[in-house]
Amino acid sequence: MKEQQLIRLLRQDPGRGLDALSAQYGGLILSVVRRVLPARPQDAEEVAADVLVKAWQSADRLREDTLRGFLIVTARNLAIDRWRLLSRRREVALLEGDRAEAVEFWQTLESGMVAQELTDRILALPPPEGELFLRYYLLMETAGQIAERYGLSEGAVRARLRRTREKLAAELRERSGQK
Amino acid sequence: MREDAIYRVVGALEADPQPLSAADAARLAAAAKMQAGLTGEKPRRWKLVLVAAAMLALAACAVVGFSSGWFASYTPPGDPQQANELLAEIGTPIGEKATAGDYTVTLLGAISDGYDLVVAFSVCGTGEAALAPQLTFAKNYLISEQRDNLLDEMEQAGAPQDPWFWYATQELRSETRYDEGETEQLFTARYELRMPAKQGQPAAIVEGGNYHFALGSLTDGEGRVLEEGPWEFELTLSVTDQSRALPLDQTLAEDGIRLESLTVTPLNLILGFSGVGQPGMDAVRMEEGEEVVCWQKSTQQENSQMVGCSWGTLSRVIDPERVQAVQIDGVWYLLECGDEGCSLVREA
Repeated sequence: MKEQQLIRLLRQDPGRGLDALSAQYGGLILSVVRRVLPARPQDAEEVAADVLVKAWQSADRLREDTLRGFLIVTARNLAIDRWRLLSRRREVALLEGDRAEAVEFWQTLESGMVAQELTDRILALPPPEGELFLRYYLLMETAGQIAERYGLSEGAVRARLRRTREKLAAELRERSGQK
Repeated sequence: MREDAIYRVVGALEADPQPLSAADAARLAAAAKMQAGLTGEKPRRWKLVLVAAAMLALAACAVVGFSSGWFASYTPPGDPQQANELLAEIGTPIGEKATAGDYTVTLLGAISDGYDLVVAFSVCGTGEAALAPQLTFAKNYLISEQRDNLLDEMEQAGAPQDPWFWYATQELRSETRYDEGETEQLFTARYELRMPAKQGQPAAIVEGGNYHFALGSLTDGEGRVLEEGPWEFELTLSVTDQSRALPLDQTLAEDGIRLESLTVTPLNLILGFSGVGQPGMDAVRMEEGEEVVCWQKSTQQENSQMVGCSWGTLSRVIDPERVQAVQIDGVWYLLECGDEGCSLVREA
Protein backbone atom coordinates (compact mmCIF):
# COMPACT_ATOMS: atom_id res chain seq x y z
CA MET A 1 0.00 0.00 0.00
CA LYS A 2 1.29 3.47 -0.83
CA GLU A 3 2.17 5.80 2.02
CA GLN A 4 -0.56 8.25 1.08
CA GLN A 5 -3.19 5.50 1.31
CA LEU A 6 -1.73 4.30 4.61
CA ILE A 7 -1.96 7.74 6.15
CA ARG A 8 -5.51 8.23 4.90
CA LEU A 9 -6.50 4.87 6.33
CA LEU A 10 -4.91 5.74 9.68
CA ARG A 11 -6.96 8.94 9.79
CA GLN A 12 -10.26 7.49 8.61
CA ASP A 13 -10.22 3.94 9.95
CA PRO A 14 -7.50 3.71 12.62
CA GLY A 15 -8.02 0.01 13.33
CA ARG A 16 -7.46 -1.01 9.72
CA GLY A 17 -4.79 1.62 9.37
CA LEU A 18 -2.77 0.13 12.22
CA ASP A 19 -3.19 -3.34 10.70
CA ALA A 20 -1.83 -2.10 7.39
CA LEU A 21 0.95 -0.07 9.00
CA SER A 22 2.07 -3.04 11.07
CA ALA A 23 2.06 -5.34 8.05
CA GLN A 24 4.05 -2.91 5.94
CA TYR A 25 6.43 -1.37 8.46
CA GLY A 26 6.33 -3.63 11.52
CA GLY A 27 9.52 -5.37 10.43
CA LEU A 28 11.38 -2.10 9.92
CA ILE A 29 10.23 -0.73 13.26
CA LEU A 30 11.23 -3.89 15.11
CA SER A 31 14.62 -3.92 13.39
CA VAL A 32 15.42 -0.47 14.73
CA VAL A 33 14.02 -1.18 18.19
CA ARG A 34 15.87 -4.47 18.54
CA ARG A 35 19.18 -2.75 17.87
CA VAL A 36 18.67 -0.80 21.08
CA LEU A 37 16.98 -3.60 23.05
CA PRO A 38 18.57 -6.76 21.66
CA ALA A 39 17.97 -8.91 24.72
CA ARG A 40 14.47 -7.67 25.54
CA PRO A 41 12.05 -9.15 22.98
CA GLN A 42 8.93 -8.38 25.03
CA ASP A 43 9.98 -4.79 25.57
CA ALA A 44 10.89 -4.50 21.90
CA GLU A 45 7.38 -5.57 20.87
CA GLU A 46 5.78 -3.18 23.32
CA VAL A 47 7.89 -0.32 22.00
CA ALA A 48 7.06 -1.27 18.42
CA ALA A 49 3.36 -1.13 19.34
CA ASP A 50 3.99 2.29 20.91
CA VAL A 51 5.50 3.46 17.62
CA LEU A 52 2.38 2.40 15.75
CA VAL A 53 0.23 4.29 18.26
CA LYS A 54 2.40 7.38 17.83
CA ALA A 55 1.96 7.16 14.07
CA TRP A 56 -1.79 7.00 14.50
CA GLN A 57 -1.73 9.94 16.91
CA SER A 58 0.40 11.92 14.44
CA ALA A 59 -1.51 10.88 11.32
CA ASP A 60 -2.88 14.37 10.74
CA ARG A 61 0.64 15.76 10.56
CA LEU A 62 2.31 12.98 8.58
CA ARG A 63 2.86 13.13 4.85
CA GLU A 64 3.79 10.49 2.34
CA ASP A 65 7.41 11.61 2.27
CA THR A 66 7.78 11.73 6.05
CA LEU A 67 5.95 8.60 7.22
CA ARG A 68 8.84 6.15 6.83
CA GLY A 69 11.35 8.48 8.45
CA PHE A 70 8.92 9.26 11.26
CA LEU A 71 8.60 5.55 12.01
CA ILE A 72 12.37 5.04 12.05
CA VAL A 73 13.14 8.05 14.24
CA THR A 74 10.23 7.37 16.59
CA ALA A 75 11.24 3.71 16.90
CA ARG A 76 14.77 4.78 17.75
CA ASN A 77 13.67 7.41 20.27
CA LEU A 78 11.09 5.27 22.04
CA ALA A 79 13.50 2.33 22.20
CA ILE A 80 16.09 4.56 23.85
CA ASP A 81 13.45 5.83 26.27
CA ARG A 82 12.58 2.26 27.18
CA TRP A 83 16.23 1.38 27.51
CA ARG A 84 16.67 4.32 29.90
CA LEU A 85 13.73 3.16 31.97
CA LEU A 86 15.04 -0.40 32.16
CA SER A 87 18.50 0.90 32.89
CA ARG A 88 17.18 2.92 35.79
CA ARG A 89 15.69 -0.26 37.15
CA ARG A 90 18.99 -1.97 36.48
CA GLU A 91 17.21 -4.49 34.27
CA VAL A 92 19.47 -3.99 31.28
CA ALA A 93 23.18 -3.55 30.93
CA LEU A 94 24.59 -0.19 30.03
CA LEU A 95 24.82 0.48 26.32
CA GLU A 96 28.27 -0.17 24.94
CA GLY A 97 30.48 2.86 25.13
CA ASP A 98 30.08 3.97 21.52
CA ARG A 99 26.30 3.40 21.58
CA ALA A 100 25.91 5.47 24.71
CA GLU A 101 28.02 8.15 23.09
CA ALA A 102 25.82 8.00 19.98
CA VAL A 103 22.70 8.60 22.03
CA GLU A 104 24.26 11.48 23.91
CA PHE A 105 25.83 13.13 20.87
CA TRP A 106 22.62 13.13 18.84
CA GLN A 107 20.80 14.61 21.81
CA THR A 108 23.42 17.36 21.97
CA LEU A 109 22.98 18.09 18.27
CA GLU A 110 19.20 18.13 18.51
CA SER A 111 19.23 20.48 21.44
CA GLY A 112 21.73 22.78 19.74
CA MET A 113 20.22 23.09 16.26
CA VAL A 114 16.76 23.13 14.82
CA ALA A 115 15.88 20.09 12.74
CA GLN A 116 16.10 21.85 9.39
CA GLU A 117 19.53 23.26 10.11
CA LEU A 118 20.79 19.94 11.38
CA THR A 119 19.49 18.22 8.27
CA ASP A 120 21.09 20.82 6.00
CA ARG A 121 24.44 20.33 7.68
CA ILE A 122 24.21 16.56 7.38
CA LEU A 123 23.19 16.82 3.73
CA ALA A 124 26.14 19.14 3.11
CA LEU A 125 28.57 16.42 4.17
CA PRO A 126 30.45 14.76 1.30
CA PRO A 127 28.88 11.44 0.31
CA PRO A 128 28.58 8.96 1.85
CA GLU A 129 29.48 10.59 5.17
CA GLY A 130 25.95 11.84 5.81
CA GLU A 131 24.45 8.44 5.18
CA LEU A 132 26.97 6.74 7.44
CA PHE A 133 26.19 9.26 10.11
CA LEU A 134 22.43 8.83 9.90
CA ARG A 135 22.66 5.06 9.80
CA TYR A 136 24.78 5.04 12.92
CA TYR A 137 22.95 7.70 14.92
CA LEU A 138 19.33 7.26 13.86
CA LEU A 139 18.97 3.80 12.36
CA MET A 140 21.23 2.59 15.19
CA GLU A 141 23.17 0.33 12.84
CA THR A 142 26.52 -0.79 14.19
CA ALA A 143 29.81 0.23 12.64
CA GLY A 144 30.18 -3.40 11.52
CA GLN A 145 26.83 -3.41 9.73
CA ILE A 146 27.58 -0.11 8.04
CA ALA A 147 31.03 -1.33 7.00
CA GLU A 148 29.50 -4.39 5.36
CA ARG A 149 26.93 -2.33 3.48
CA TYR A 150 29.49 0.11 2.07
CA GLY A 151 32.36 -2.31 1.55
CA LEU A 152 34.53 -0.53 4.11
CA SER A 153 36.47 -1.80 7.08
CA GLU A 154 34.91 -1.28 10.49
CA GLY A 155 37.87 0.89 11.46
CA ALA A 156 37.33 3.09 8.42
CA VAL A 157 33.66 3.55 9.33
CA ARG A 158 34.56 4.51 12.88
CA ALA A 159 37.17 6.97 11.63
CA ARG A 160 34.69 8.60 9.24
CA LEU A 161 32.07 8.80 11.97
CA ARG A 162 34.56 10.39 14.29
CA ARG A 163 35.50 13.03 11.69
CA THR A 164 31.85 13.84 11.03
CA ARG A 165 31.15 14.04 14.74
CA GLU A 166 34.05 16.40 15.27
CA LYS A 167 32.97 18.56 12.33
CA LEU A 168 29.40 18.86 13.54
CA ALA A 169 30.51 19.45 17.12
CA ALA A 170 32.79 22.26 15.89
CA GLU A 171 29.93 23.79 13.91
CA LEU A 172 27.74 23.54 16.95
CA ARG A 173 30.35 25.31 19.08
CA GLU A 174 30.79 27.97 16.44
CA ARG A 175 27.04 28.43 16.26
CA SER A 176 26.81 28.77 20.03
CA GLY A 177 29.59 31.34 19.98
CA GLN A 178 27.74 33.44 17.42
CA LYS A 179 24.70 33.73 19.64
CA MET B 1 6.29 18.87 11.99
CA ARG B 2 9.54 20.48 13.02
CA GLU B 3 11.38 17.25 12.33
CA ASP B 4 10.01 16.74 8.81
CA ALA B 5 13.38 17.49 7.23
CA ILE B 6 15.06 14.73 9.21
CA TYR B 7 12.20 12.34 8.51
CA ARG B 8 12.53 12.89 4.77
CA VAL B 9 16.27 12.23 4.77
CA VAL B 10 16.17 9.23 7.08
CA GLY B 11 13.14 7.79 5.34
CA ALA B 12 15.01 7.76 2.06
CA LEU B 13 17.73 5.48 3.42
CA GLU B 14 17.56 1.87 2.37
CA ALA B 15 17.18 -0.57 5.21
CA ASP B 16 17.03 -4.31 5.55
CA PRO B 17 14.08 -4.87 7.84
CA GLN B 18 13.64 -8.23 9.41
CA PRO B 19 10.75 -10.09 7.81
CA LEU B 20 7.65 -10.06 9.97
CA SER B 21 5.14 -12.86 9.67
CA ALA B 22 1.48 -12.00 9.15
CA ALA B 23 0.73 -13.37 12.62
CA ASP B 24 3.43 -11.22 14.24
CA ALA B 25 2.23 -8.14 12.37
CA ALA B 26 -1.34 -8.82 13.50
CA ARG B 27 -0.21 -9.24 17.11
CA LEU B 28 1.71 -5.99 16.97
CA ALA B 29 -1.27 -4.16 15.52
CA ALA B 30 -3.56 -5.68 18.15
CA ALA B 31 -1.25 -4.47 20.93
CA ALA B 32 -1.21 -0.98 19.40
CA LYS B 33 -4.99 -0.92 19.11
CA MET B 34 -5.41 -1.99 22.68
CA GLN B 35 -3.01 0.65 23.87
CA ALA B 36 -4.73 3.29 21.77
CA GLY B 37 -8.09 2.28 23.10
CA LEU B 38 -9.14 1.26 19.59
CA THR B 39 -10.85 -1.94 20.56
CA GLY B 40 -13.53 -1.23 17.97
CA GLU B 41 -17.28 -1.52 17.96
CA LYS B 42 -17.42 -5.27 17.89
CA PRO B 43 -15.74 -5.90 21.24
CA ARG B 44 -17.85 -3.21 22.85
CA ARG B 45 -21.03 -4.89 21.69
CA TRP B 46 -19.62 -8.16 22.85
CA LYS B 47 -18.95 -6.63 26.23
CA LEU B 48 -22.54 -5.46 26.50
CA VAL B 49 -23.80 -8.90 25.61
CA LEU B 50 -21.74 -10.25 28.46
CA VAL B 51 -23.33 -8.07 31.10
CA ALA B 52 -25.69 -10.86 32.08
CA ALA B 53 -22.81 -13.30 32.25
CA ALA B 54 -20.89 -10.84 34.39
CA MET B 55 -23.72 -10.63 36.86
CA LEU B 56 -23.78 -14.41 37.10
CA ALA B 57 -20.03 -14.55 37.56
CA LEU B 58 -20.15 -11.93 40.29
CA ALA B 59 -22.73 -13.92 42.13
CA ALA B 60 -20.21 -16.73 42.30
CA CYS B 61 -17.33 -14.52 43.41
CA ALA B 62 -16.73 -13.43 46.94
CA VAL B 63 -15.23 -10.10 45.95
CA VAL B 64 -13.42 -8.43 48.78
CA GLY B 65 -15.10 -5.22 49.83
CA PHE B 66 -13.59 -1.80 50.31
CA SER B 67 -11.52 -2.22 53.38
CA SER B 68 -7.88 -1.62 54.07
CA GLY B 69 -7.40 -5.00 52.43
CA TRP B 70 -7.50 -3.56 48.97
CA PHE B 71 -4.01 -2.19 49.40
CA ALA B 72 -2.64 -4.90 51.58
CA SER B 73 0.69 -4.92 49.78
CA TYR B 74 1.07 -1.17 50.38
CA THR B 75 -0.22 -1.06 53.93
CA PRO B 76 1.42 1.79 55.82
CA PRO B 77 3.51 0.98 58.86
CA GLY B 78 2.37 1.90 62.33
CA ASP B 79 -0.98 1.83 64.01
CA PRO B 80 -3.60 -0.02 61.87
CA GLN B 81 -6.21 2.68 62.42
CA GLN B 82 -3.82 5.43 61.37
CA ALA B 83 -2.84 3.29 58.41
CA ASN B 84 -6.44 2.96 57.28
CA GLU B 85 -7.00 6.68 57.70
CA LEU B 86 -3.97 7.45 55.60
CA LEU B 87 -5.06 5.09 52.85
CA ALA B 88 -8.53 6.61 52.93
CA GLU B 89 -7.01 10.09 52.52
CA ILE B 90 -4.98 9.31 49.45
CA GLY B 91 -7.10 6.50 48.07
CA THR B 92 -10.04 6.53 45.72
CA PRO B 93 -12.35 3.54 46.02
CA ILE B 94 -13.78 2.54 42.65
CA GLY B 95 -15.40 -0.87 42.63
CA GLU B 96 -16.08 -1.19 38.90
CA LYS B 97 -16.19 -4.61 37.33
CA ALA B 98 -15.50 -5.93 33.86
CA THR B 99 -15.93 -9.46 32.64
CA ALA B 100 -14.37 -11.35 29.77
CA GLY B 101 -15.01 -15.04 29.35
CA ASP B 102 -15.15 -16.71 32.75
CA TYR B 103 -13.13 -14.01 34.47
CA THR B 104 -14.32 -10.92 36.26
CA VAL B 105 -11.89 -8.19 37.18
CA THR B 106 -12.88 -5.71 39.86
CA LEU B 107 -11.03 -2.41 39.93
CA LEU B 108 -10.99 -1.90 43.67
CA GLY B 109 -9.36 1.47 43.95
CA ALA B 110 -6.42 3.72 43.28
CA ILE B 111 -3.92 5.66 45.34
CA SER B 112 -1.70 8.42 44.10
CA ASP B 113 0.77 10.93 45.43
CA GLY B 114 0.67 12.86 42.16
CA TYR B 115 3.94 11.28 41.01
CA ASP B 116 2.83 7.67 40.83
CA LEU B 117 -0.50 5.95 40.54
CA VAL B 118 -1.11 2.56 42.13
CA VAL B 119 -4.23 0.69 41.15
CA ALA B 120 -5.58 -2.29 43.04
CA PHE B 121 -7.71 -4.87 41.30
CA SER B 122 -8.81 -8.42 41.80
CA VAL B 123 -9.70 -11.29 39.53
CA CYS B 124 -12.01 -14.12 40.15
CA GLY B 125 -13.44 -16.64 37.77
CA THR B 126 -15.98 -19.32 37.46
CA GLY B 127 -13.47 -21.76 36.03
CA GLU B 128 -11.00 -23.73 38.12
CA ALA B 129 -8.15 -22.07 36.25
CA ALA B 130 -8.81 -18.85 38.11
CA LEU B 131 -7.61 -20.53 41.24
CA ALA B 132 -4.24 -21.34 39.73
CA PRO B 133 -1.33 -19.68 41.50
CA GLN B 134 0.81 -17.01 39.87
CA LEU B 135 -1.88 -15.58 37.66
CA THR B 136 -0.69 -12.52 35.86
CA PHE B 137 -1.87 -10.07 33.23
CA ALA B 138 0.67 -10.00 30.44
CA LYS B 139 -0.74 -6.69 29.22
CA ASN B 140 -1.67 -3.72 31.32
CA TYR B 141 -1.94 -0.15 30.19
CA LEU B 142 -2.71 3.18 31.72
CA ILE B 143 -3.58 5.96 29.32
CA SER B 144 -3.94 9.48 30.59
CA GLU B 145 -5.58 12.04 28.38
CA GLN B 146 -4.36 14.75 30.70
CA ARG B 147 -0.76 13.63 30.47
CA ASP B 148 -0.91 13.36 26.70
CA ASN B 149 -2.34 16.86 26.51
CA LEU B 150 0.40 18.18 28.76
CA LEU B 151 3.08 16.61 26.61
CA ASP B 152 1.48 18.11 23.50
CA GLU B 153 1.50 21.51 25.16
CA MET B 154 5.13 21.10 26.12
CA GLU B 155 6.04 20.09 22.59
CA GLN B 156 4.20 23.03 21.11
CA ALA B 157 5.94 25.34 23.55
CA GLY B 158 9.27 23.94 22.39
CA ALA B 159 10.12 22.59 25.82
CA PRO B 160 12.47 19.63 25.92
CA GLN B 161 10.59 16.53 26.78
CA ASP B 162 11.67 13.16 27.89
CA PRO B 163 9.06 10.56 27.07
CA TRP B 164 11.01 8.15 29.23
CA PHE B 165 8.44 9.04 31.85
CA TRP B 166 5.55 7.82 29.77
CA TYR B 167 6.07 4.21 30.46
CA ALA B 168 4.98 2.88 33.33
CA THR B 169 4.52 -0.40 34.87
CA GLN B 170 7.06 -0.60 37.58
CA GLU B 171 5.70 -3.63 39.29
CA LEU B 172 2.75 -5.93 39.46
CA ARG B 173 2.26 -7.45 42.89
CA SER B 174 -0.28 -10.14 43.56
CA GLU B 175 -1.52 -12.16 46.45
CA THR B 176 -4.18 -14.78 46.85
CA ARG B 177 -6.92 -14.26 49.38
CA TYR B 178 -9.23 -16.90 50.76
CA ASP B 179 -12.63 -15.76 51.88
CA GLU B 180 -15.30 -18.20 52.96
CA GLY B 181 -14.07 -20.95 50.74
CA GLU B 182 -13.71 -18.76 47.64
CA THR B 183 -10.41 -17.67 46.20
CA GLU B 184 -9.71 -14.24 44.88
CA GLN B 185 -6.44 -12.96 43.57
CA LEU B 186 -5.55 -9.36 44.36
CA PHE B 187 -3.15 -7.29 42.31
CA THR B 188 -1.58 -3.89 42.49
CA ALA B 189 0.09 -2.20 39.54
CA ARG B 190 2.15 0.94 39.84
CA TYR B 191 2.54 3.56 37.12
CA GLU B 192 4.63 6.69 36.89
CA LEU B 193 2.66 9.88 36.34
CA ARG B 194 5.55 12.25 36.81
CA MET B 195 6.45 14.69 34.11
CA PRO B 196 9.86 15.96 33.16
CA ALA B 197 10.63 19.42 34.38
CA LYS B 198 13.57 21.74 34.48
CA GLN B 199 16.93 20.73 35.88
CA GLY B 200 16.09 17.07 36.15
CA GLN B 201 13.47 17.66 38.78
CA PRO B 202 10.31 15.80 37.88
CA ALA B 203 7.01 17.55 38.41
CA ALA B 204 4.02 15.84 39.89
CA ILE B 205 0.58 15.77 38.36
CA VAL B 206 -1.24 16.57 41.55
CA GLU B 207 -4.53 17.50 40.00
CA GLY B 208 -5.51 13.96 39.21
CA GLY B 209 -7.35 13.40 35.96
CA ASN B 210 -9.11 10.90 33.79
CA TYR B 211 -7.46 7.60 33.04
CA HIS B 212 -8.19 4.63 30.86
CA PHE B 213 -6.96 1.45 32.50
CA ALA B 214 -6.89 -1.78 30.52
CA LEU B 215 -5.79 -5.31 31.25
CA GLY B 216 -5.29 -8.16 28.84
CA SER B 217 -3.90 -11.69 28.45
CA LEU B 218 -4.63 -13.31 31.78
CA THR B 219 -1.90 -15.91 31.99
CA ASP B 220 -1.26 -18.78 34.34
CA GLY B 221 2.02 -19.52 36.06
CA GLU B 222 3.30 -21.44 33.05
CA GLY B 223 2.62 -18.68 30.56
CA ARG B 224 -0.57 -20.15 29.09
CA VAL B 225 -3.14 -17.51 28.19
CA LEU B 226 -6.39 -18.29 29.98
CA GLU B 227 -8.34 -15.35 28.58
CA GLU B 228 -7.29 -12.55 26.27
CA GLY B 229 -9.73 -9.98 27.57
CA PRO B 230 -9.55 -7.03 27.46
CA TRP B 231 -10.88 -5.77 30.76
CA GLU B 232 -11.21 -2.01 30.50
CA PHE B 233 -12.00 0.74 32.98
CA GLU B 234 -12.35 4.49 33.02
CA LEU B 235 -11.38 6.16 36.26
CA THR B 236 -11.30 9.71 37.44
CA LEU B 237 -8.70 10.35 40.06
CA SER B 238 -8.69 13.19 42.51
CA VAL B 239 -5.27 13.71 44.03
CA THR B 240 -4.53 15.74 47.12
CA ASP B 241 -0.96 16.88 47.38
CA GLN B 242 0.32 15.47 50.66
CA SER B 243 3.97 15.86 49.94
CA ARG B 244 6.31 17.39 52.46
CA ALA B 245 8.83 19.64 50.77
CA LEU B 246 11.96 20.44 52.76
CA PRO B 247 14.38 23.02 51.38
CA LEU B 248 17.96 22.05 52.14
CA ASP B 249 21.17 23.95 51.82
CA GLN B 250 24.05 21.77 52.85
CA THR B 251 26.86 19.65 51.55
CA LEU B 252 27.27 15.94 52.11
CA ALA B 253 30.62 15.64 53.82
CA GLU B 254 31.41 12.30 52.18
CA ASP B 255 31.47 13.34 48.56
CA GLY B 256 30.80 17.04 48.41
CA ILE B 257 27.36 16.75 46.86
CA ARG B 258 25.23 19.81 47.50
CA LEU B 259 21.77 18.94 48.78
CA GLU B 260 19.10 21.40 47.73
CA SER B 261 15.75 19.88 48.57
CA LEU B 262 14.04 16.80 49.87
CA THR B 263 10.47 16.01 48.96
CA VAL B 264 8.73 13.25 50.86
CA THR B 265 5.42 11.96 49.50
CA PRO B 266 3.31 9.01 50.59
CA LEU B 267 4.94 6.93 47.85
CA ASN B 268 8.27 8.54 46.96
CA LEU B 269 11.39 10.34 48.15
CA ILE B 270 12.99 12.90 45.86
CA LEU B 271 16.34 14.44 46.70
CA GLY B 272 17.39 17.46 44.66
CA PHE B 273 21.15 17.94 44.47
CA SER B 274 23.99 19.48 42.53
CA GLY B 275 27.49 18.20 42.01
CA VAL B 276 29.01 15.08 40.57
CA GLY B 277 27.63 11.93 42.08
CA GLN B 278 24.65 9.72 42.47
CA PRO B 279 23.32 9.83 46.01
CA GLY B 280 21.07 6.82 46.42
CA MET B 281 17.90 7.03 48.49
CA ASP B 282 17.72 3.85 50.54
CA ALA B 283 14.95 4.12 53.14
CA VAL B 284 13.00 6.23 55.60
CA ARG B 285 12.49 5.67 59.29
CA MET B 286 9.18 6.62 60.82
CA GLU B 287 8.63 8.19 64.23
CA GLU B 288 7.63 4.80 65.61
CA GLY B 289 10.99 3.41 64.55
CA GLU B 290 9.73 1.34 61.64
CA GLU B 291 11.74 1.50 58.45
CA VAL B 292 10.35 1.54 54.93
CA VAL B 293 12.81 0.76 52.20
CA CYS B 294 12.99 2.10 48.69
CA TRP B 295 12.50 -0.87 46.43
CA GLN B 296 13.72 1.10 43.49
CA LYS B 297 16.34 3.82 43.28
CA SER B 298 17.35 6.01 40.42
CA THR B 299 19.27 9.17 39.73
CA GLN B 300 18.72 11.62 36.93
CA GLN B 301 21.46 14.06 36.20
CA GLU B 302 21.94 16.61 33.50
CA ASN B 303 25.51 16.31 32.33
CA SER B 304 26.13 19.91 31.58
CA GLN B 305 24.70 21.44 34.71
CA MET B 306 25.55 18.78 37.26
CA VAL B 307 22.16 19.04 38.84
CA GLY B 308 19.75 16.25 39.29
CA CYS B 309 17.53 14.34 41.59
CA SER B 310 17.73 11.00 43.26
CA TRP B 311 14.56 9.07 43.39
CA GLY B 312 13.49 6.49 45.93
CA THR B 313 10.30 4.58 45.25
CA LEU B 314 8.93 3.45 48.58
CA SER B 315 7.77 -0.10 49.04
CA ARG B 316 4.83 0.95 51.21
CA VAL B 317 2.68 4.01 51.77
CA ILE B 318 3.97 6.41 54.41
CA ASP B 319 2.72 9.51 56.16
CA PRO B 320 5.29 12.16 55.14
CA GLU B 321 4.70 14.09 58.35
CA ARG B 322 5.89 11.16 60.45
CA VAL B 323 9.24 10.64 58.75
CA GLN B 324 12.03 10.96 61.28
CA ALA B 325 15.10 10.07 59.25
CA VAL B 326 16.23 9.19 55.75
CA GLN B 327 18.96 6.85 54.66
CA ILE B 328 21.22 7.97 51.83
CA ASP B 329 23.93 5.65 50.55
CA GLY B 330 23.69 3.55 53.68
CA VAL B 331 24.00 6.47 56.11
CA TRP B 332 21.08 7.56 58.27
CA TYR B 333 20.33 11.27 58.54
CA LEU B 334 17.88 12.75 61.02
CA LEU B 335 15.49 15.33 59.62
CA GLU B 336 15.80 18.50 61.64
CA CYS B 337 13.66 21.49 60.78
CA GLY B 338 13.58 24.84 62.50
CA ASP B 339 12.83 28.47 61.80
CA GLU B 340 15.84 28.74 59.52
CA GLY B 341 14.96 25.79 57.36
CA CYS B 342 15.74 22.08 57.42
CA SER B 343 18.87 20.05 57.48
CA LEU B 344 19.93 16.45 57.49
CA VAL B 345 22.01 15.57 60.54
CA ARG B 346 24.17 12.50 60.28
CA GLU B 347 23.21 9.99 62.93
CA ALA B 348 25.89 9.05 65.37
